[in-house]
Amino acid sequence: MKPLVWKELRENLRWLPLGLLVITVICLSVWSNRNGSGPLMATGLVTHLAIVTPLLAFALGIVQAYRDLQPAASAYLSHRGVTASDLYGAKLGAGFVIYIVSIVIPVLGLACCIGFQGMWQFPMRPAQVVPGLVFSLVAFAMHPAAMLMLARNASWWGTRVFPLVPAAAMLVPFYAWLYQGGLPGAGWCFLFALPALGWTILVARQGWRELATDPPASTVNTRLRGRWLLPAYMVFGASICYFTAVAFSVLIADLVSQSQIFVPAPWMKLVVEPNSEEIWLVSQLQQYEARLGNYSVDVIGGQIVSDSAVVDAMASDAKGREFTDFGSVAPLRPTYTGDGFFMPPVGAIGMPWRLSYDTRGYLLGYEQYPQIRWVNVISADGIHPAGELSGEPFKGNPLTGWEHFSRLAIAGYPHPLMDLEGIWFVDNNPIALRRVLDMKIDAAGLIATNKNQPPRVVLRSGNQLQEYRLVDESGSENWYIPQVPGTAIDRSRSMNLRLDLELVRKFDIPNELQNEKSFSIGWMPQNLLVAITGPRWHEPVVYRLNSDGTHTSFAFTVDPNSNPLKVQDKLSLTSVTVGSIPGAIFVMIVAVSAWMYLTNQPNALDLLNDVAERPMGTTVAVAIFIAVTLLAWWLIRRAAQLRGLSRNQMWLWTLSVPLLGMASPLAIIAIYPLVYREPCHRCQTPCRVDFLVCEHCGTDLQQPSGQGIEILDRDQRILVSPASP
Amino acid sequence: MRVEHVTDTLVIRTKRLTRYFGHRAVVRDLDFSVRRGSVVGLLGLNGAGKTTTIRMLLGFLDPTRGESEVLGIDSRHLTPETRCRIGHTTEGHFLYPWMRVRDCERFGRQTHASWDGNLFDQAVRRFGIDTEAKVSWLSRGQRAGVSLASTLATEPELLILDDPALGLDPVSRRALNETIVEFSESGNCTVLLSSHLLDDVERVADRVALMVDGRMLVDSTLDDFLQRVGAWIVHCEQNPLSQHSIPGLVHCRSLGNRWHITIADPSTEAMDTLETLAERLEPADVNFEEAVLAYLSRSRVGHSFYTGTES
Repeated sequence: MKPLVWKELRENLRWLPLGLLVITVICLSVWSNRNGSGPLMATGLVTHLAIVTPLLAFALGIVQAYRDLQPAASAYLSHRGVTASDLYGAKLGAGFVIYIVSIVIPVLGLACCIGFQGMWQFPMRPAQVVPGLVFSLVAFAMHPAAMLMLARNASWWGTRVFPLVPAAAMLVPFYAWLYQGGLPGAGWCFLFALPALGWTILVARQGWRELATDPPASTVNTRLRGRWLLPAYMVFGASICYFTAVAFSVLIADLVSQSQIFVPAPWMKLVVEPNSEEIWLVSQLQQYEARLGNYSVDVIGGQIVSDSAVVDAMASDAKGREFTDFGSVAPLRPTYTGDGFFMPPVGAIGMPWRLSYDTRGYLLGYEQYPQIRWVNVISADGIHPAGELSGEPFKGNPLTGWEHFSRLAIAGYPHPLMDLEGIWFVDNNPIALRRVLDMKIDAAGLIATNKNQPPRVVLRSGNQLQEYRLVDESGSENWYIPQVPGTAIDRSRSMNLRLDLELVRKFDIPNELQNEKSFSIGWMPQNLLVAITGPRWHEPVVYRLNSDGTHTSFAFTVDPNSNPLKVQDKLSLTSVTVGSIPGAIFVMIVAVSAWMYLTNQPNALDLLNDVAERPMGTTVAVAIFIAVTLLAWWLIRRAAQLRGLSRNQMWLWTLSVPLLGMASPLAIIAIYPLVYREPCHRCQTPCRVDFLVCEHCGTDLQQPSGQGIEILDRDQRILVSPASP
Repeated sequence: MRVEHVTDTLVIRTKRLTRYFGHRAVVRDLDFSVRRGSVVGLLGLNGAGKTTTIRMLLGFLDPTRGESEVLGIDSRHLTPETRCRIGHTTEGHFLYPWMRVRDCERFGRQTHASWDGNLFDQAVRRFGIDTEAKVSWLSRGQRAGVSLASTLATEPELLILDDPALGLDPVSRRALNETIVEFSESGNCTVLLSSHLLDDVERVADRVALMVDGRMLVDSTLDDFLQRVGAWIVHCEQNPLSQHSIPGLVHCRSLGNRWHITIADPSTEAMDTLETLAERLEPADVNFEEAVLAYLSRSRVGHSFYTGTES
């Protein structure tokens, strides 16, 4: 093994400088863009490496395999006291060393630069390079895939490149995951990368050892029996090819059928009429206001909601009235994907700094002008000078509650920091961190009240909803001046505002709602309204909670004819392409939908209703599905004949069609080589050349030469004649 | 029982060995064997299937049907240990161009179970090669020397040489032939020599195997082969084959208004036919080269690339 590795290194070390150069250029490019407004370096590095490293691994696999697969070189290398696995292992090992060295050296250099600079100019740690390194590890799968591609005995115009498909497809989810950044994500990716890479390596090893193709029929070559790695890999590849083709078709069909101009779509919403305190179901429409250069929402119809009523969402009763919207109280989730450590500082309205969350539990404050500079560390117990992370760390990302207070931010007021255990305000004069609430928070929302009053904060803690009002130092809500549409927001007015939270009311969540994650909540002076509408407004229920712990509820029905967003059922290209989707996808969709429906998931699809609402589209899709299945069956039959599959094999593949669709015949073509036939010299029927006897008449296929010029030793004939059975 | 006994003495044995490339059968139903201790010359035109046969014997190519054994082991399952008992030089004497000669020696020593360094040095010296020289600097003959030295140093029981003299100068060819003869005489060693050089084969081989269009037409000792092939000069104006067929006819070649006819195992019927055809019939000398060429010419239409005259 050692001399083989040495030989591979000696032959291919010339590619190392090239790899080093390319990766160094990438690192320099990423480093020079480190102060951009986009995500931090990790994302840029992953993206650049996602383009280059698969190509690097692929090229290395090609150059290592191509030369030694030529007949003379192959014979010279293979005909010695080594196994095919030794040769493969040596190529793989040497290739990995060259590959990883060419990546690790420049990337570690980049990490050193980051470490040397520290967090002063930008909040980056050397670990920014970890996602890129993890992706590079996964991308090495292209190396064995390239070797397998060359080792296969298939047509370049046919399925020769198929081995690349699963390896390349495998990289996509890893890239999507690592692109979001975060060390935990990188760690999980690393754990998943090892089996994925191992699978590719084992498949390629089997291909390298055994000429990479299955026998045309299971009886011909017994040593290939029991192989499953490579066929399974090729089925996977064929399925990906077909799924991708269908997905692109659906996408293109969708794009073609889409309107090229902005057509606003109305929607239904529960609202409260503030004067009468009645609950309405209204239809709203978002329109573009050219005068304001902005969008506005208009009520285009609606009706009062009452117990057991059938409500017309397009009735003209609601026109011209003013309503207060229901708001949502949603679980606390990070506003930004990733863990914050991989994101650049964000501007916080009302704060003089841009903030970045460090996964160790601190907010880093950065001064933007005159130059980017780290100025302080905000921890749960106060604001500390920059330089080191000090103070009590937050339990979670305090920027988590960002989106819950967006209404406040849009109106030009400071919004608080919030994590799962409390709420803080940052005061500007003097600069200080002030904790206004110390409580476990599960969900939060900002609920509109009356037109000229500030919104109320509604928090869920356990099985209780708590309503807080935002008050200034005088204890009043007069600080709030609502934004007039079309006017600029005067942000300076909130600079010295010191807001506080004051508990107003507490409501017990009814037992039947305790499993709900999110609520749609409407505010009333005496009550809090909680609506459960479901995704399709089937049997919506409104709960009226009282602060004494009691509640009442009522249900109503939406007149289906009044639903402003009617389902369009028409013959479309999308229906045609949806019919080509393999059955396995349908099975998965049905299974997931059933699971979501049975477990009362909020976004559960109602497949039966979907189908019932689109009879034409469904009929077309089913017809296309049947046509595709029949075509696939015919192709399987033909491919099975041309490739000499046994009857059992053909039936198994036929059974797979409803699940895999056209991927099944594609997989047959990828896995099994063609079997040639020539006329039997007795019955003249074309028979397989890999059989010793004619499959039709049983005649021995050895044709007598009949030339009468053979000069063969009689002894030799005896020697080579078949041994007695 | 006799079959069992002689099978032990066979180092190569094929049974209906067939290989198709696409629709074309390159080797067809090859039943062939090589006895231990013999030197077999494998002859045939380009494309006759010699190299394909060797590749199948060494397990580099799967047969379409049939099977082959080398040293008693199925060619498709040759182990590294068995491979070390088989010496093989590839067509064109492939070596890694970046290696020095001593690197070739070291690489071979490290990847073979047994290695005789003295034999390597001796063989290399015979070809006048500097061990510090890079392979890329060597002439074709010198490369052949290194290749052969590497092969012999593994002390093989069986040597399979695929056109080893291709492009060699006369001195190198002689050195190559002497090496093969010495090797075959050094013990119970066997050589399968694929070549286009008929005089080399005649000099070193004791058996000849001749392939035409993927089929084995001749497999016998050189003497037996020569004894069983007869040739005559037929004097007649027209092509004698236009009117009659001659049993055992190998080849008929035009010599102006005469015809050179080669016949395998000439029978009484064949002789009667010839006498009927000929105005005058003269026996012709048959040497090894003439006999082999008669077989090889069967699959070629013209005998002159310049005139394109049909034979």
